[in-house]
Amino acid sequence: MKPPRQSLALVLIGCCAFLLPAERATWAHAMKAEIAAIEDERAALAFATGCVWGSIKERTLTMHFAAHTVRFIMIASMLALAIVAAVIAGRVAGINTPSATIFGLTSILFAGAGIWYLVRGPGALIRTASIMIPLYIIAYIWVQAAGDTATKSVPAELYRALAIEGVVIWAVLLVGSLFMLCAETILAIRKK
Amino acid sequence: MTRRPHSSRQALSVLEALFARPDKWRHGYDLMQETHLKSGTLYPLLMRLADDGLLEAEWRPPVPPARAPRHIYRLTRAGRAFAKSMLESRADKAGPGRAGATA
Repeated sequence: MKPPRQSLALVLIGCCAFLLPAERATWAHAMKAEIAAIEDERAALAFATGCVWGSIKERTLTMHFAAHTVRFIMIASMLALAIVAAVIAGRVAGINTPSATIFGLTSILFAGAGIWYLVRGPGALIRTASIMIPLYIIAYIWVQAAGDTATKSVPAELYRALAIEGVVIWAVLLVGSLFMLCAETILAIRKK
Repeated sequence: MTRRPHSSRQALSVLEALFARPDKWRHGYDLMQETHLKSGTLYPLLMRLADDGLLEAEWRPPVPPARAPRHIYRLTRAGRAFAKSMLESRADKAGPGRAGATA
């Protein structure tokens, strides 16, 4: 029976085959073969732990992985924002109709942007963000100007906050889309 | 200014170890012990060197205590030239007093 550290080292080194990209399979075998030659079980465990860490780095510190992660985060964020805005719209629907309309439109906007991005890629989102950022800035200026004349039923503070939030969210989406565009270009060049 | 590939301290230490005995095939664990690098640092470096054609790898039949064939490494001809230039450049940067220390 193998000592527990040796067994754990073998389990860990086995994980490297799953963690490393398929084209690195030989390296996973090489690590596994190497551990069989290390007699000291403590050293074997340290070796295996290091190999797992190296495999994770090899898998994650790549443009391909970064592009996939950013793409997933962006789509998930847009859908989450759409759901949150829809829920808020539903809650304020009977209390404040203008606010419910704004939240409803925001929900449709983010859901649409998410689908638009899925279908047309980062270029489409860059164009959308380039339109939305100035629109939110205009909305902020308009709310600011209309603030003094607004009735008590119109929560100007809320609209100002939403306008600022809109600028920030779309700026983040713009940066993410620009990154995605660069990443996709680099990956396409590498493929050729 | 772009950084030269394989110019990190860790990469240079691997190149130095391999270049010290360029004809000798080396095991990963053996290189780890010589360079004092962790396996998580060493193997990605070896992978990049092999990707760039600077390192060749082979499987060698087991020698006890190993029970399975082991992967062995050495610099290719291009790898030796690259290692020489990198180590010379490092020696130049370190100062004239240390030049040739790695040759």
